[in-house]
Amino acid sequence: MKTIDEIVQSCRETIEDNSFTTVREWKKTGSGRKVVGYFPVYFPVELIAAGGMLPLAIFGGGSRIAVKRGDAHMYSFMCSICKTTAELALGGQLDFLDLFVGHPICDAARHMPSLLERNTEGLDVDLLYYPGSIAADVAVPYLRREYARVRSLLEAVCGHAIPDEAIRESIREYNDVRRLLRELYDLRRRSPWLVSAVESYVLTRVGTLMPARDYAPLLREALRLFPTRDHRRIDKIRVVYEGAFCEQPPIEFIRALEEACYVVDDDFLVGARFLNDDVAMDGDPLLALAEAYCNHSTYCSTQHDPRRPKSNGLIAKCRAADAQAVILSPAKFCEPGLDDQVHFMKRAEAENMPNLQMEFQERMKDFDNVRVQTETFAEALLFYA
Amino acid sequence: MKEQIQSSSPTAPPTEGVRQETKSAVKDAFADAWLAKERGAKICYTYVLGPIELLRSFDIHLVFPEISSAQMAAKKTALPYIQKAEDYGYAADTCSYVTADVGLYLSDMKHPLGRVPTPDLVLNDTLCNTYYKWSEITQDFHKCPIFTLDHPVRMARKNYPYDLEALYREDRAYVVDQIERLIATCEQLTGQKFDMDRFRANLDLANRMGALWCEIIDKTRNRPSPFDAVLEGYNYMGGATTLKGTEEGVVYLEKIKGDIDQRIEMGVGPVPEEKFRLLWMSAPCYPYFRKIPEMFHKAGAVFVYTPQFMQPTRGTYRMQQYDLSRPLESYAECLMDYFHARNPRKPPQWSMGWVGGGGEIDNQLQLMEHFGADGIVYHAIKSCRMNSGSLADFREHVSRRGVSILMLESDIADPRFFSEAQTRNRIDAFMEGLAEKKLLRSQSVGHA
Repeated sequence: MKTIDEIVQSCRETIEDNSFTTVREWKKTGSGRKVVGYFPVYFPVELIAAGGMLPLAIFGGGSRIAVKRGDAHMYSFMCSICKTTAELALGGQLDFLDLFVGHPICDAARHMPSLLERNTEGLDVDLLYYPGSIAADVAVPYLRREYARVRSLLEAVCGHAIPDEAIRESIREYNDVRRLLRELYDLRRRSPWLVSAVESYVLTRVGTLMPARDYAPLLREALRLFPTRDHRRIDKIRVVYEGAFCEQPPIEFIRALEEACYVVDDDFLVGARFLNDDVAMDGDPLLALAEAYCNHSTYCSTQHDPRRPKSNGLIAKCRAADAQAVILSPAKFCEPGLDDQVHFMKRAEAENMPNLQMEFQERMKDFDNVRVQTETFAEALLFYA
Repeated sequence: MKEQIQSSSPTAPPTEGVRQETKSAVKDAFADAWLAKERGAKICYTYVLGPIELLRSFDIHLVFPEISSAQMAAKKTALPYIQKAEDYGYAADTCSYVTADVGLYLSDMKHPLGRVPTPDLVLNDTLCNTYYKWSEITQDFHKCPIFTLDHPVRMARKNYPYDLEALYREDRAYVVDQIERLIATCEQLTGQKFDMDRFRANLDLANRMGALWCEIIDKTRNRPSPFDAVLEGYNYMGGATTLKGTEEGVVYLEKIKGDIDQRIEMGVGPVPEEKFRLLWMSAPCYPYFRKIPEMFHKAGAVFVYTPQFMQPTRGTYRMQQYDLSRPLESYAECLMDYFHARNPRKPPQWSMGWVGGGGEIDNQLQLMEHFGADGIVYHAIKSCRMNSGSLADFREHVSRRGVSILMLESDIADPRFFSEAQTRNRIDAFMEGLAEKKLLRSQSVGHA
C-alpha cells in the first residue's frame, strides 16, 4: 500500500516524463491499441475512450526540454507551449501518436495542426472547430454535428464503429472522474493544509495521460488518504490562481506561490475539469456532450460567451473558495490570457479583491522573483490590509 | 496620410485623384460616422473582413477599428495610445492594434483624425481569435452588444473519413443560419426591414470591385511593376476596404486602375530601374510604412504582391464572385472560402494559409512564378500571431525549394519593436545575396 506522498511522487514522475513511457507501455500491452493526442484546452475525451483508445493531452515539453527545432519553425513571439509541442513532435517524441487533434482556440494554436502536418511525416493531424460563440442558438446543433465528424475521424483510427452505447459508457466513466476531481478541489478549498495545489495539480494532470478506469481508483485512494494526514493549518492567506488554462507553469512555480499562500482554487488544467456537471447519460450522447460544452462548462479565456462576463466566473470562484485575493498570472505571449488579465483585474478592483499580477512561462527556471512577489503580496495582506 | 500615399518615385505619374479618393475614404471616415449618427444611423464596429455588404444594406455606418489603429500607427501617433493602454494594464506582448484602440477609448475617443463615435453593435468575425478578445474589450468599455459571425475552419487531409462535400454543405447552412440571425439583429437595431434587392445590389458592387481589384493587383506582373505592393498597394487596399460594396468604391478602383494603366504605358514604376521583384508576406510595419519599402527601393527592389491583397475582395479573387441568384448562400461561401485557405476543397487562393487548406508551400512557389519574383520577405509581426505564426516554418520549407528569403521582425503599430539599423543591415545583406545569386545565374546561363 503506497502512502499519499508516494502516490503523488509516482504521478509526478509520470507527468514529467517527456518520453511518455507509461503511454508507450499502455500501447504495447494490447494489440491494436491506439493513442490520440490533443492540444489544450478541452477535448471530448469520451469519444476517444469509447473507441478503446487512449486520449492524451499534449501540454508541451515543460521546462525539461531544450527548444531548438521549435525556435527554427516558430518566430519569437509564440508562446512556449506551442514551441515545446513542436519540439516534441519534430524530435520524434510524439511518434507513437495515431492522431493529433488541434483546435483554433487562439492565434498561435491555429498554426499547430498545419505545422505538425508539414513537419512530422506519418502523423495524422486534424482539428476540432468549436463554435465561435457558445451562446448562439446554433452552437449546440453545430457542435453535435462537429462531434459526429470527430467520431468518424476516430472510427477511422481505431478501425471500428464507435456506437452510442460505448460513448454513454465512456461518459459514465468520465462523469465519475469529474466527480472525484470536484471532490479533490472541494477538499482543497476546505482544508488546503491537507492537499496542496502542487499535489492537486499533479493528480489532475496524471489523469490526462491514463485511461479513466485506471485513473478513478487512483483518485479515490488519494481522496481517502489526504484527510488522514496530520497536517496543521498555518497562518497563510487564501488565494485563487488564474491564467494557466492552456500552457502550464512549472511545478516549482506553484510551489513558490504556496510558500506564502494557500492556493485554494485555480484554473490549472481546466480542460480536465471543463464541464461543471455530470453529462447526461440518456439520449443522444453527442448532443449531451455538445450541450455540456456550451451550457454547463466553466468560463475560459479561449471561449466566447456573451451571456456571462468571464469575471463573473472568477469572482464566483473566489467567493466559493473564501479567497482573500487573486493571483492573475497568464503565460507569456498568451494573448487570450493577457487580454483577460485586465478584464479580471478591473473586476477584482471593483469587488475590492486584492490582486497580484505576474506572467509565467513553462520554461522558466528562476522562481526567486515569484517567491519574493508572492511573499510581499501576502505579507501586505496579512499585516497591513 | 499625405506622406503615406505619396508615390515613392519621381518617375511615376501624378496620382492626385487617387490620393484624394483615399483621403476621403479613410481620413474622413470618422466625420462621416458622426454625420451618419446625427442622421440617426447606428454605428457598428466591424473588422476588415466583416459582412460589410450586409450591414450596409441597413444603412448601418461602419467603423473599422483595425484601420483606425493602422492610421494612428502610420501617422506615428500610436505609441501614446498604446502606452495609455499599458498603463491601464494591457501587456506589450498583445496586439498593438487592440492596445492602440484601448488607448483611444481611454482618450475620450479622440483619434488623430477626429473623434470616433461609440458603437451600437460590434460585429465579431472569426478570422482571427484576437477579434474575440477585441470585441469583448470593446463591450467592456462601451457596454454594446456583440454579434459573432462564425465560419468553421477545416483541415486538408490526404484521406477523408467523412464526406467533405456534405460537411461543406452543412457548414454553409450553419453560416446561412447565422446570417439570417444577423439580419434579424440588424432589423431590430435599425428598425429597418431587410431588403434583399438592396443587399443583392451591394453584392453586385462588391463583385465589380472584386473584378477591378483582381485586375489591379495582377498589373504588377508588368515589368517594371507599375506600383509597389506594400507602399501603394496597402493604401489602395485601405480605401477599397472602407468603400467596399459601394458605388464610390467602384469609382475609386477605376481611378486607381486608370492611373496604373497610365504608368504602364509610360513604362514607369516605383523605382528608376527595377532590378528585383519581391513578395511581401504579412502586414506592413505601419509606424515605418515608407521607410522599410524604401530600403528595398534603394537596391532596385519592388514588392509585386502580398497575400493580404485578398482582403478587399474577401476571397473572391481567382474566379469566385458572389452568386446573385442565391445571395445568402453565396455570401456564406465567400465567408468560408476566403483568403486564408480555410476550405480544403480548394487550394489556397494565393493567400497565406495558417490553418486548414494545405498546399501552402506550393501556393507560395506559384506566386513566385506568377509574379516573376526573385525572393520573399516574411514580415513577422510581434502583435499578430495569426499572420506570423507559421512564417518561420514557411521559411524552412520554401527556402529548401531554392527561394531566397528574408525574415524581418517588427510590429504593425508599436514603433518600439522596430530597429532601423538592424533592419537596414539585414535588408542590405539580403539584397547583396540576391544580386550575387542573379549574377551567378546569368553567368551560368552565359556559360551554357
